[in-house]
Amino acid sequence: MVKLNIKNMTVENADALQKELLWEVEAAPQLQLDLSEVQECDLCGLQLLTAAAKQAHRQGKRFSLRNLPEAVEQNLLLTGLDTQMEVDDG
Amino acid sequence: MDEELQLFYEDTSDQLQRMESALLDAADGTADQETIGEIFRAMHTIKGTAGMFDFDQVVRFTHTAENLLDEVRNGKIAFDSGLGTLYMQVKDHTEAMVEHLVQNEPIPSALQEAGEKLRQSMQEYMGGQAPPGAGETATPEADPERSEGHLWHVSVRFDREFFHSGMDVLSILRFFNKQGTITRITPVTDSLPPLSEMDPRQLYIGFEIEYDSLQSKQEIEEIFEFVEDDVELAVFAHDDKERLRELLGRHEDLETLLVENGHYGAEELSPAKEASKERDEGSKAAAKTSRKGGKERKKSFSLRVDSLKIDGLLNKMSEMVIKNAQIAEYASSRENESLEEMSSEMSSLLEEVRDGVMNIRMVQVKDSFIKYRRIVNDTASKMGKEIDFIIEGEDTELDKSVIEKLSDPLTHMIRNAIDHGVESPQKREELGKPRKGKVWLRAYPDAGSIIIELEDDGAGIDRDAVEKKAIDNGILERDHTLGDREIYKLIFAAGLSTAKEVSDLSGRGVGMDVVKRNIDDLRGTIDVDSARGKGSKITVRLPLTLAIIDGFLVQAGQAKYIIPLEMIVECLEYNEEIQSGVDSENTISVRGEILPLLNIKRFFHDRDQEIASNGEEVRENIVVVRYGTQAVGLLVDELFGEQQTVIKSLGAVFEQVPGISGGSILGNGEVALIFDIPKLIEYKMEQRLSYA
Repeated sequence: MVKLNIKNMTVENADALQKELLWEVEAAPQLQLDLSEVQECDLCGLQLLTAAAKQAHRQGKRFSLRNLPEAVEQNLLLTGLDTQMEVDDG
Repeated sequence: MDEELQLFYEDTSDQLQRMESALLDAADGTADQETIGEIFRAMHTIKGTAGMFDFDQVVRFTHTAENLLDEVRNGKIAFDSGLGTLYMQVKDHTEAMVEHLVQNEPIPSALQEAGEKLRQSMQEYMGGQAPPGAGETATPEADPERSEGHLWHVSVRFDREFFHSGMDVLSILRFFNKQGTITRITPVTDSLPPLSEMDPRQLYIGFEIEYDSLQSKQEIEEIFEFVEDDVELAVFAHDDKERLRELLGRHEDLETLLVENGHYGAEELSPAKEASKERDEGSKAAAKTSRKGGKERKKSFSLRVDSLKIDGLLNKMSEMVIKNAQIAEYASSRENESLEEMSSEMSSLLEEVRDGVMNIRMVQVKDSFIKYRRIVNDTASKMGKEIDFIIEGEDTELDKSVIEKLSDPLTHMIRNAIDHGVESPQKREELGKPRKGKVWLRAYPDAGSIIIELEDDGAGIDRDAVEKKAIDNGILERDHTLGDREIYKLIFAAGLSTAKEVSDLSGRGVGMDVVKRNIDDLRGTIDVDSARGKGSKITVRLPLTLAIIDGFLVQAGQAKYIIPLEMIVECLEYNEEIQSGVDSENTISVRGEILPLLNIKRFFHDRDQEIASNGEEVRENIVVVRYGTQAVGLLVDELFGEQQTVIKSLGAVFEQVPGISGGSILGNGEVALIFDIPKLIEYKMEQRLSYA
């Protein structure tokens, strides 16, 4: 399990987030991303998560999210992007 | 009930329960947007699913309920306690209708009338919406334009540079939900480049939205007013096939996506294409769907399974446990060590699988406990009492079937606690207690059992009244020597009610004995403690599961018996040392402590064996068992050791044999009887009392 060390998954941090996600997806045979540190997220952040999930799936890797803060979860549901990735309970 | 109706029923019950829970929250204090949203979603979902079954009455009814809630959400109407009560009735009415419909019964006219009244009450709340000439044409259908929600299809693609516009797409979507409900949303992600190649500051995702709203097309388009140059927008009625065809013409593969995500049925869209293309596309869609289905299966999801299937699985598991015990026995008789080892490995694997299967049946008590809040509220308001209901340990897990069977007795106990236990607010103030009475409902595990506890800080049980009534009814001798706790327990005796006047809710003298019987059926025990003026506490001790136990195999006379392992304290040789000097037939002395003794052979009238074995010396043993606070020594012959035991019902004929809860088949095919230890202890205690 990897903890995402980015507080704001927003357009301001887009480059850093992209870099971090790329690194994690390439490095691990399967990726369980802990989002407990995240405080804010916008569509730009969700779009990057979606792209990361797609990338992992293309490589046959498992990609899942853990410890979703309320804000992220609500936004995933709002946009229907929750269907694009796996969310682990607990 | 066929499968689909069953699903509809379960889903509706879920929704209604959530609605009730939200309503109770709303009654506590202020109703926030989220709580109202919860109630709204319940009504909305039920309306939708009822529509699929053509349950028009439910659709009509929930539609009105939904519209009124929409007014609340838009801040036009405040959600006061009056509305709360009204919606509780709405919930009950919906439930009643659904219960008739799923049984394929028509809705009785009395119920229909009640529903119409409720609908009128809701209409009155929406007063401003009623047509001006309300007098003669006050039927809700009179103005469909206003009250009917419209289902829209909203398709939106953004300019790549949209993030620079400063508008937040999420806020736009949230705004949608304020003016109506997004009933379905599908993100369109096919132009999203790979993570490494994408520009993270550009927006590639678009949305297809199914939107239920009272708004007009123009009003919806106005949501995008400030960014109209940066979006490609299409808004049309969900059933407008013409516009849909246009949209599908513009976007490749969109048709498949919409069908896959349930915006439209495949057959709904097929006429939109030319006949020749139709078949081709159809099969392509099917292929895609199945591929996607395969991918989705990897995701974690929850599933409704008929509990009978799990029971079946458990039954097969049991057979395997028995077969494996046979293998172990065969191996040991042949002194085949490697086979023995394999069987032992198999046994631990089986144990894991068994635990896994058992675990499926375990559910948190939370959901079932929530409904007691309603019962507390209803009972309290009927009796004019004020109650603080506190639930503790709601994540404790218990076998689903146990939880279901617990529902009736617990409901009765709760009503009883409020009716007889907690005093009226005036009385409490006179006594110097807080006005609000407290009732606790707790669940927690304790040494292989689950404890359910119901406590109140009310008046407590009137010991003398119970005693007097029991003596009057001939349940108790005048010169009995029972302790306080044993007296309290008499409230579970049949035909004993100390309620001075019969109330609507409890105190008819039936009830607590039924509670006791229900708990007995679950192989549980029930205990009461009480302090005059301070309150009482009822403790129900339940076994974790009903199907398999870890047992200890013993022999007494000709028969083999199984004792549940978790109840065994120790095993001792029966020798002079522990034979009690006082009443050696009925007691033993273990390290100075006198315990009651139950001679199993005698109890089950195994006389022949007793006589036959008199000739040769049989070494006898004592197994000390404990249940709750009570310990008893069982006198048996041989001890064999631990045994995984699958409980098999003995069938109707032997069901009532006292002291036996079931049977089990041993590895060698022999039958062993499983002791019902609580019953045996109870028997022994009663016997002792009658001696005393």
